[in-house]
Amino acid sequence: MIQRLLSLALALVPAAAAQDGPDMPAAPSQSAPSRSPADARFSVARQAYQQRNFPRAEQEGLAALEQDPKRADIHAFLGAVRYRMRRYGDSIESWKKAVELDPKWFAEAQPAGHCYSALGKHEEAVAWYKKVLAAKPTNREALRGIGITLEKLGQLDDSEKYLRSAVAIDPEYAPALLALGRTLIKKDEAGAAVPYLEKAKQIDPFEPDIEYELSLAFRELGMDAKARAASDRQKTLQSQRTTIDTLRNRLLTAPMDLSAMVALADAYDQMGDVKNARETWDRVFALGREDGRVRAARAMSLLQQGSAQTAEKLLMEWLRTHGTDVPAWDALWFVRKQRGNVEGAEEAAAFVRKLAQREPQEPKLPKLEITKPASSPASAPAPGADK
Amino acid sequence: MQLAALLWCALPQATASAPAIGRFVDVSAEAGILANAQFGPAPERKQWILEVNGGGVGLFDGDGDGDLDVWLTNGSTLEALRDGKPGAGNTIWRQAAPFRFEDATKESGVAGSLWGNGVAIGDVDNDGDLDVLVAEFGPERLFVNDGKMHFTEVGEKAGFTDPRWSSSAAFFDADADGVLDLFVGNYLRFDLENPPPYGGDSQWRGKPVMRGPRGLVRDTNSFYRGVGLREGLPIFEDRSEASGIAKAPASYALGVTTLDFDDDGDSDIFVANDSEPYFLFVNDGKGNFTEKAQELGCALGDHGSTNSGMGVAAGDLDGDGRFEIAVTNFSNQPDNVFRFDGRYFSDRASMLGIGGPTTPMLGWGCRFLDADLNGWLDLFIANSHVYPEADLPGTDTRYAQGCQLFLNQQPVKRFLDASAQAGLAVPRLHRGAAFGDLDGDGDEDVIVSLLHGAPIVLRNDLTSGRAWLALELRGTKSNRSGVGARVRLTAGGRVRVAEHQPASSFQSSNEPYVRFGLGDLAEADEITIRWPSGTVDTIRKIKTRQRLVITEGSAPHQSPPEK
Repeated sequence: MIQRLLSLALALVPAAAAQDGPDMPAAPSQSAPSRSPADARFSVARQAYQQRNFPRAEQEGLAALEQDPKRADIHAFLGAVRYRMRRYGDSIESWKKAVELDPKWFAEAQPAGHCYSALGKHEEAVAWYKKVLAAKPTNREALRGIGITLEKLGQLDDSEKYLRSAVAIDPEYAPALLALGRTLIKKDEAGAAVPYLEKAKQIDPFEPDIEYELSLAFRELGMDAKARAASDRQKTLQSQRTTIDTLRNRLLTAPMDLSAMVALADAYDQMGDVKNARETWDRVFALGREDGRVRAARAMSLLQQGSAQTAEKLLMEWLRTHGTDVPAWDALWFVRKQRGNVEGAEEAAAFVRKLAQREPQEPKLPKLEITKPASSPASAPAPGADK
Repeated sequence: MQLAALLWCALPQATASAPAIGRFVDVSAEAGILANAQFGPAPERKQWILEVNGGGVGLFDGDGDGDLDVWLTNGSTLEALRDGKPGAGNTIWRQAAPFRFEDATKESGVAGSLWGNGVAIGDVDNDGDLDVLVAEFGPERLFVNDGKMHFTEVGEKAGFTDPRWSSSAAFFDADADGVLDLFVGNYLRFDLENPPPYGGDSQWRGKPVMRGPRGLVRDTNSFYRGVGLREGLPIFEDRSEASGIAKAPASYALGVTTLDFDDDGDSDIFVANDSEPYFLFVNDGKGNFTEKAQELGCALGDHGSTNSGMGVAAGDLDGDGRFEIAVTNFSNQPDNVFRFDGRYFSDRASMLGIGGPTTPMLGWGCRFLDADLNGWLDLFIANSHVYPEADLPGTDTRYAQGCQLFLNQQPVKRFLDASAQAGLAVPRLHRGAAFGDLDGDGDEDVIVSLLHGAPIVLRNDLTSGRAWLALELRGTKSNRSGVGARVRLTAGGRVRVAEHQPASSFQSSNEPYVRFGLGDLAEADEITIRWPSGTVDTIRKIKTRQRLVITEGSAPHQSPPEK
């Protein structure tokens, strides 16, 4: 919502490391390889992965493989990278190569199953998951993946069996709880589904799919008011998630796009997802550590949430060390005005006049324009795709 | 969940090996439909979303000679459209002999479109012939037929002045007053003077692509009430707001059909929206609508997924007397098949074996048709991508794609993907598709428009010698086309239910008949027709293998109809 305020020069802000890169595939038990030219490139590739710079990660991974084409761990790494990039066919090929070179990698190869499923190749997905589970019966992601895929195939009893195993291994694993609830609804056991879905909601309160399944369960149980409430919340969360997914997709291809990152942090704020908002704002601050507009943006986001006092505090702290930052003074003027602090607002306005020889500007809060390509799905359809 | 739904889940999943079937034979060369579709300058370069949706196909008997003729819409280039220059324009093709068409465009007066999209066909003036509406980038154009396939364009006089980008349209009688009304799905706002730039942050699979629909302004839909003739011209009044249609959120409408999903005697409207939840406008019988897709379970696909709807089809797949709705959509999304259990819809595409094979495809025109005339509806889908960039590495899909045929394997509740076996795997840039019996052998043939070039004509040679029955409905109290009539056919111990609505698929209009495949039956026991007016006609002991004309009120029902 605060894009326009910030967008102009943010691309020039120097890059900084992201804070919350996804986990890379863990190597099955094997000793660490000795340092080699391939290792050097692989190290760079892994760093890029941690920064969510998947194109770079792939490029460096391929370069590492040129040095040593027989490295199963690098093939597996590429499989994970390509899965994140939603290049499912390529990911499968990488995983196939990894397990061909070292079958131990089957233990971690569930993303290939997700890829088969995302491509609509459900039978192939089930076969692959079974190989993964043969190598590692406690692989909860594989258990969830096969459970979801079997549910799609209408094999509901088997689906339930695998999903219950996933939940037994990790009772707090919200995606498996959701999937189990879904399968139970399709088995006409909506009453049994609700506790699993409610638990999933406790763990992941911002997941629209959980609300969707809850609405179906309540509907089946004749609890119309609850069904409507869940459906309404699903719509709200879905809309927010569409924005978030789009921004995350944008950051996949342009990981240093600070304006997209600011918009993402703001979207988490508006959703009320404190944890992800904080993490993303931390990344924003790391990337734009000397840019007052970042602080102004954060303040505007806080203001929209009704946290005007925190917004003012944030700006004041910033201005203590960056007293000539006009956008921050603009924001402070606006925040104070919104709080009814006429005197304080005038004080901020005076700084703007002095520093910029103009009147303070009300920060524009246009609705973020989502320029997602035509018809691309908002979220990865693969089981296990991170959300 | 109802018992039927439980059975649906519980019955065996796997199907036996593919039955021996014939093929859809490409007879395009002999058919001679040389229309040259043009949506943008070239297939390999798609800079704007305006250039990717393509045109529609209409199948109807335009000249009253008893066989089907073909109407094709056509596009242009953005530059020509911006300059107000005529586009390639509509074409009409008279069927002179089975699968032999002659260009009748010049003498029929159908030219004049700047950029045509969808085609809707119905008898808007109740004079016994079929008229044609073209949904355009710009005001809809209405071509009134003189019965001999000579048309007069009366769109503006009839009340169509809305300049928005309309995609699909459907004639139906919303208020059962005997005059056809019109629903128009509007896609999005596209500024010709400032077209959205290609690429930049508009990326797909890491590749720059044309922009939209997201990021472009959504639009509301239109509803026009037919109010009858004024000085000999059909007149429509815009009741988009008053009817409740425009009260639904703005979205990106593409595919449209009407159906009486709740069997309450009036026509409801289903809209496949691109990248947004679908709409189901529920009719109160008087032409007032409430959008209830989310409430009824057909706004989202399985797992609550928001899909990118393109084409739409409706029909009773499982013989329970209720209609399923299919929606084709984007690559990496399974197409949807919504089953209605009498209370709610649920997407069963994956469980039916349709979800998986349609996932890599981007679907457009579609139809529930009994392709092999065995008495169960199958599903035909025309596919191809919107992005030429789909041919670049790493996309898991292709720009040109084949069509698909899913055969209904009743009593096993799983469809068989017979696409390759039926000869449909040839990759092309398929778009709209219309279905109808072009050669009078009882099965439905297909004409598929392409994004560029001449359409494909597919002769259905899947089976031979199987029985069928087609009904041509003529309303008297109801609209003359009989659109919205619900037909209940009893034969061989089974009851089949169908509804007359040519408008479905993608931007297309199918043959104006209600058709049943009847296996090896020589006779149907009974046909009951519930007309939009409420009139019920029943006829008994009907020989199969014929097209039967039924006029409203000619066979009054003697006892209350069973539901």
